[in-house]
Amino acid sequence: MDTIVNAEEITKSFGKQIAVRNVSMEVKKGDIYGFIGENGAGKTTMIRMMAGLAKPSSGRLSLFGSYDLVKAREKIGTVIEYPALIPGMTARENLMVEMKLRGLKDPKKIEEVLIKVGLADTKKKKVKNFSLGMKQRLAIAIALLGDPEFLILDEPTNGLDPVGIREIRELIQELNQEHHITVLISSHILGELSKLATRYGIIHKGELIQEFTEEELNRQSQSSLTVKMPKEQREKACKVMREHFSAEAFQMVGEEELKVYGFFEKPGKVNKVLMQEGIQVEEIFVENMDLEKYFLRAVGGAAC
Amino acid sequence: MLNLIRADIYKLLKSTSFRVCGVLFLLLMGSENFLYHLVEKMGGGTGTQTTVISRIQGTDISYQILLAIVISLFIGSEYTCGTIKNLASKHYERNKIFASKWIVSVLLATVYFAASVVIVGITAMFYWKTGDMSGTVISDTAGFLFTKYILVLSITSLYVMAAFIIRKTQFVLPVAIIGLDVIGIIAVYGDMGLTKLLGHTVQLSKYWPSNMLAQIIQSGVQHAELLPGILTGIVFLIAAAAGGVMHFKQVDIK
Repeated sequence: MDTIVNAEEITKSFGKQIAVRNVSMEVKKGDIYGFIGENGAGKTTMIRMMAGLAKPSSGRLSLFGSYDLVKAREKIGTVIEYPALIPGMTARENLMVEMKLRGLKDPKKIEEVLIKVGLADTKKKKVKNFSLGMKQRLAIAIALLGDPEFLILDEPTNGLDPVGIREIRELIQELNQEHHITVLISSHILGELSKLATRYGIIHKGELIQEFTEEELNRQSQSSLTVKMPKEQREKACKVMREHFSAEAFQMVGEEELKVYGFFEKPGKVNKVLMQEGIQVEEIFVENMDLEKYFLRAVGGAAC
Repeated sequence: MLNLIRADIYKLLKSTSFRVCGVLFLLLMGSENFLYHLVEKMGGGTGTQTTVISRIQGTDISYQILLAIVISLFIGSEYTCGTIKNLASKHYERNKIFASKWIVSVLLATVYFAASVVIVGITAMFYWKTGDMSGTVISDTAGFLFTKYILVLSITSLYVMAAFIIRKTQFVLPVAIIGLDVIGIIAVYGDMGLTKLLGHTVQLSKYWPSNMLAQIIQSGVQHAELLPGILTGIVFLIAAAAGGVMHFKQVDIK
């Protein structure tokens, strides 16, 4: 089975408010699927439906090729929104609850996952005294106890310091590469996500507006040309760029910037043509586009 | 399902509320006969001959408040800490998750009830004679205690339902502690209103579990109407469980 999650036109509404609209997406085996979206875009709602915490209003969802989601969830581990732990218990006791839930008997398993997430020496320290990073790691340890084939991590780096973020990233990479666990991860820290994910989905205002692979992102983000000019001349500049260079993707940013994407002409040549057409170029430069910029381009800014 | 119950029992036994309320329960039940004996010596009491059997029959059920606290925190904390998500995202159907909590809560109520009778029975032996142990007295006592037990279970079932509907500990706790009595009082006023409106006596409020329990305790073994008590208990035991599970199956977990 190559497809782990297959969402077919999923819609979720709360009264009149539609949180997720006709989302179709696919997470394939072996993916680290980066799920990107602004606050309130519908990421967590979509993830909660996959995890069985909410029901779609319409559409169909399959896990591991099966529509029997309750049974299929035996193979998934989840950390959704924040680490769900019992604060009055130690790390081992929290894991013991999960052991009992999953009907596991071997206590060595607890030590194994604690070592894996770097919490083996917490001893009798109660979870309420853990740092947020430790809680996140323990939540991941709980998700790992049942040897899941698919991990759903909703904002797992929320509130972590840079060291904690790196640790979580390395752990996810290890789980994916060495233990062959498919991961769906949502994060606001797009720089971090771009170091991890192999496929991406962008959700905006409840709709999945793009799905693309790491390679596609790399291809798309090779360069963009930024030209600064008076605001009123930007429309004309778009027209000139279309006519002379067959440029297609534009974005107006702020008061004076015009960004041209997927464009490989030399800035000097562009500058010359624009000047000849009477456009007052104040600055022109080539910019490499990272995931964050790609995302912003996908969801925001006015296009010509 | 067994795994769910095992995990729930583990969580309950490890919870601070269970341990603190357990100690309070032992103190409460352990001191009951001592206090009763003290009152008797000061000239109080019921005026009838006190025996071990009569003390067992009159075993106090004030531990209900402790049950309300433990159950509210046991279920409410799953929502407050978010651990309900860990349950619902597993391969367990919602009705099994609810059933596990319900069974563990009912087990807890059973332990409280049985322990209260045993503790009161044992401590009574220090102060009073055993009393009449004829077959009739034993069967009357068993019937009386069984009715009380069923009503305590129905109240427990209502606590579980309330916890699943209200979810957050800070709201569940006060509702569980005073909710039953408040509804009982409102039902009495409702009866008064209906009586006036319809022109004949309406006594629906007596079928509210806490009112029924109070009424049976007040009537005593000789005069209590056990059958309505048992039926009321069974109806609320099942209805609260059904209401709770239906609600839990419908709602999204946040």
